[in-house]
Amino acid sequence: MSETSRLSPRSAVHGDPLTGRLLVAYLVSLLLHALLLFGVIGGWLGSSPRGDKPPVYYVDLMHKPVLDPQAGRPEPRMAQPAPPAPAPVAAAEKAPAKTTAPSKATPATRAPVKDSDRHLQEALQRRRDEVALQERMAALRQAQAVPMDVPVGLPDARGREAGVDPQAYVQAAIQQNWALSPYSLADPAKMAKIEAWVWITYSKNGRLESFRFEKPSGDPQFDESIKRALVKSQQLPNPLPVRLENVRVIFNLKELKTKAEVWR
Amino acid sequence: MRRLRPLFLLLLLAASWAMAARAADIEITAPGQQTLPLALTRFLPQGGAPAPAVAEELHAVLAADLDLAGIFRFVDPAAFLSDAVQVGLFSTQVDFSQWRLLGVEVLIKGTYSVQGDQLTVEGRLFDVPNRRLLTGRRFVGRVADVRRIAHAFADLILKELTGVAGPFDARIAFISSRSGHKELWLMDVDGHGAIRLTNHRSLVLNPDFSPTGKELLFTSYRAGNPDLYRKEIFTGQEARVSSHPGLNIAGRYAPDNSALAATLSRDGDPEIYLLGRDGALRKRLTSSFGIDVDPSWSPDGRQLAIVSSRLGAPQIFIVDLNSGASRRLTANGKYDATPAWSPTGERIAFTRQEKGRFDIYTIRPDGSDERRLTFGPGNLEHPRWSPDGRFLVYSSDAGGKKALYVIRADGTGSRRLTPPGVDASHPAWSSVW
Repeated sequence: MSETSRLSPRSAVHGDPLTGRLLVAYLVSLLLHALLLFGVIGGWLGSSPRGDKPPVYYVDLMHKPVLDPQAGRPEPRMAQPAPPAPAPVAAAEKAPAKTTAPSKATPATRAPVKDSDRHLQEALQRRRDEVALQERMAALRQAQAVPMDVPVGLPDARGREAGVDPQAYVQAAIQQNWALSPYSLADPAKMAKIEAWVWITYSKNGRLESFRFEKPSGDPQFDESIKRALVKSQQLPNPLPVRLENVRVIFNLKELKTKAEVWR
Repeated sequence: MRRLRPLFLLLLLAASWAMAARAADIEITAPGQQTLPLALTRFLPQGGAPAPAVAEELHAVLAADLDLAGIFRFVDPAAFLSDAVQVGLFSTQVDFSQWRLLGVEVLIKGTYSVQGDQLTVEGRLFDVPNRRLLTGRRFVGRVADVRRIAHAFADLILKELTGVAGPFDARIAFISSRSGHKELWLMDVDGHGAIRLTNHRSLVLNPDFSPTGKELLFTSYRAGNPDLYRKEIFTGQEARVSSHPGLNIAGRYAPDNSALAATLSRDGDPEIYLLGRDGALRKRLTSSFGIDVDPSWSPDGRQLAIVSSRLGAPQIFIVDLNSGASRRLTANGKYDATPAWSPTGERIAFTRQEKGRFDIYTIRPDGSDERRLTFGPGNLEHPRWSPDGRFLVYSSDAGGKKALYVIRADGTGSRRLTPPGVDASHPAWSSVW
C-alpha cells in the first residue's frame, strides 16, 4: 500500500491503525486548543483585582533629596482591613443551622424556630442580606487595599528604605530657608570668594541644638542671612534617622558669581 | 627605612581620616531665595486724627523705592493676619509667630500722627526669624514732606540691610523745555515734585551736582556763548564761572569739591581743562588733534574718563591727572560717548551707537568685562550713577519725546521717571539731600 492510500479518508473509514492514531492526535490537539481557549477566556472574564498590584508612582520632588521614599505616594498606606465582627443576630441565626441544640446565650435565635410570624421572618431575611452585603463589601475593600509589599515612591524602592543621606536632607532644608539677595551684600564684587563655615548639631528628632560660626565671611549681611536661615531651620519637617553632631556647613555663593560680576 | 614604615602608615591613616572628615561637610553654594521676603504693613494713626491720604502716600513711596532696590519679595498683604493692624513699635508688641507663618523675614511697621501741618512718622524694621528690632527712626516734618520722609526711611532700611544707604532721599537735575525753552529742572528721584531752577530763555545743558548736592554746574547760552554757570539751589544765587571764547561745556565737580574739569575750545579744538571752583584756569589736561569732551572723575580724583576722537571715531579714554598720560578704554565700538565713572570706582558707564541707535554699556576701568545693559528701543543716552552706585538714570526717546528712566546697575528693573508728554534729558543724580 502506498503512502497516499494510507492517508486517504477511505482508509480511515476502514479502521487503518495509523489513521486512527492520527485521528486521536487530531482530537487531542483540538481538545487542548479548546482548553487553552477556555482558559484564556475564563481567565480574562474571571480576573479579579485581588491579586493585582496597583501602579507604581514615581514622584521626583524637584530633584531634592527626600528623607522618606514614600513621601510622594498619592494615597496613605493602608493596612489590611479587619473583617467586620459578625452581628449577634447573624451568628445566632447561623448557629441553629449547624447544630440543633438551643443556645442559652442567644434567646433571639429561638424566635424564628418556634415562631412562624411572617414579619419576623422578613426582618431576619433583611438582616441576613445586610450581613451578606457587609461581607461582600469587606471582601472588596480587602481586594482593593494596597498590599504592603508594593514598590512605591521611588522606582526601585519597596517602602522600607531608610531614606537619603540625612546630611543631604539637612542641606536642602537649610538652603530652602536661606534668603539672600546679591544686591544686599556690602561688597558684591567679592561674591565669588565669600564663604562662611558654621558647625551645627541636629538632634535625631530634627531639632537644631546649636550652631557656631567657625569662620564668618566678614560681610555682615551675608552672615546675618545665614543666622536667619539657621533660625528658620531650627526644626526640620521630619525627624532624622541619626543624630548629626558637629557637622560643618560651608556657605558660599559659587553659583551666583556671575551676577556678582555684573553688579557694580 | 623599616623603622619609618609605621610612621608612614600612621600618616596615611591620618590623611585618610582627614579626607573622610572633609567628606562629611555640607556645602551650600547658593541661597534658596535670592530675595528677602518682606511684609510692608500700612502705617497706622497714633495720637491724631486718621489721615488716609498720608498713610497711602507713605506706603506707595516706600513700596516703590524698596521694589526698585531689587532686594525684596513683597508678601501679599491679603495674607496678613491680625498683627498687621496692631501698632507695634517695639519687638515686644509684635506677634512674630504670625509673620513667621507667612514666611516673612523682614517686617516694616510704623505709625503717623498729624497735628495741624506737622507730621510725625515712626518707622520700624524688624527681623522676624530673630524676633528683634533692626532699625527705626522718628521723622518730624510738614505734611507736605510725607514723600521725603518715606524716601528717607527707605534709605535707612537699605542702610540696615545692605550696609549702604539708599539714594532715594536725593534729587535729580535734568534739562526740559516744558516751559518753552531748555531750562534746568529739579525733581525727586521718583519723578515727583519737578521744579524749574533757571529762567535763561535760551539753551541750558549738561548739569552736574557738587559733591555736597547743594550746588549745580551747567552750560547756558544765555550770553550767546556756551558758558559755564554755577547755581546754589537753596539761595538761588547764580554765577558764570567760565566764559572763554568758544565752548565752555560739560563741567564736572572734582570728588573733593576742590576743582572743576570742563571742555573748553579757547585754543582751537575742544580740550579738557582743569579749573578752580571760581573758574580760574589751572591746567590743560589733554592735547590732541581730535575732539576731547565729556570728562568724568574717578572717585579718587586722580583720573578722568573722557571722550576723544584722536584716533578717528569717538572712543572712551582714561587720562591720568598727574602724569597727563592717557590710554584707550573702549575698543569694540565705533562711536562711544558720555562716560560716567561709578561712585564705587568699579565700573564706567557709557553710551555706544550701533546701527544708528545708542545703548548703555558698562566696563571696568581696566578695559575688561564690557557689558551691554540696555537693548533699546530708541536712543538711550547720558547715563549717570546714583550716589550709592546701585542705579543709573538715563534719557530715552523711545516714546517720541525724550524721557528719564532709571535702571539697576546690572540693567534690570527699568522704570520711567518723567511723565509722558514732556521732554527731559541730561540727568544728574545728587548726593543724599
